[in-house]
Amino acid sequence: MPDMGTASGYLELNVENEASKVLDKRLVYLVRMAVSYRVPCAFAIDVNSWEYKKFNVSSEELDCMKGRISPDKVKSFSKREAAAVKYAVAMSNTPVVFDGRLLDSVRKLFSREEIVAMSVLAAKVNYWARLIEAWRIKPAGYSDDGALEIEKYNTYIEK
Amino acid sequence: MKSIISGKMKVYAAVLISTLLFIVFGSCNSPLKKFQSAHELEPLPQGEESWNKEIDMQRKSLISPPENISCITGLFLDYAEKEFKKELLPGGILA
Repeated sequence: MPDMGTASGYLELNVENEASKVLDKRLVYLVRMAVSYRVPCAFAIDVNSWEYKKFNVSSEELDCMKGRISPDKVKSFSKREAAAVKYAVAMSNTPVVFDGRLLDSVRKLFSREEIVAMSVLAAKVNYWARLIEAWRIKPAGYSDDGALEIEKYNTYIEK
Repeated sequence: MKSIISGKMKVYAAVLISTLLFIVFGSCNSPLKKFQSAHELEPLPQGEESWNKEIDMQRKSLISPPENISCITGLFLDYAEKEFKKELLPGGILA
């Protein structure tokens, strides 16, 4: 199925390129991390989080990515970062649920182009994360940092 | 002959230099693009400040498609909308 591979490759390349033109690099990184942990997908966590120190992601922020602290409670997040993480997580939940306060903050803190870039980026990470889990692909081994707790995010259940 | 060519070359060079100068000075003097949030660009109806259930039901989307869609994208979007015989709002927003 080469066309599906090509389409997926274009999605990856173009979405990343366009998002990085509109959003700052740390915000892009936070969105990618938040979705990877939320799905969850160990491969995506590995690929999207191994450089977390380079993007100054603190241990508290890392806990937030893992869903242990609300983005609002993380003091090091800017308002925009907290809203972006919440929006990306809301997009990644099943069922998807949005509340007025979150939608307000997204509309007031981001431009139209930024909203498009952020949501398409989060959707793209969701696409890969869910596909990779369906294919049961194991982490690529980018990181052996125990703080990421990659091994805890296994989606297999015994029935 | 040689002088004609060199004369033409001078004209081309002058046009090229003046175009480049125009672009350089134009970009230096153009005002910085002011940040405009989606809320500022598209305020909620009746001066509402918050997104609520009523607005969520009424509005077609969180943000609207841009007013000007590039020609090629517009062609593809038109083609897709003809295929589906419906307005494809997600495609419009992405454009």
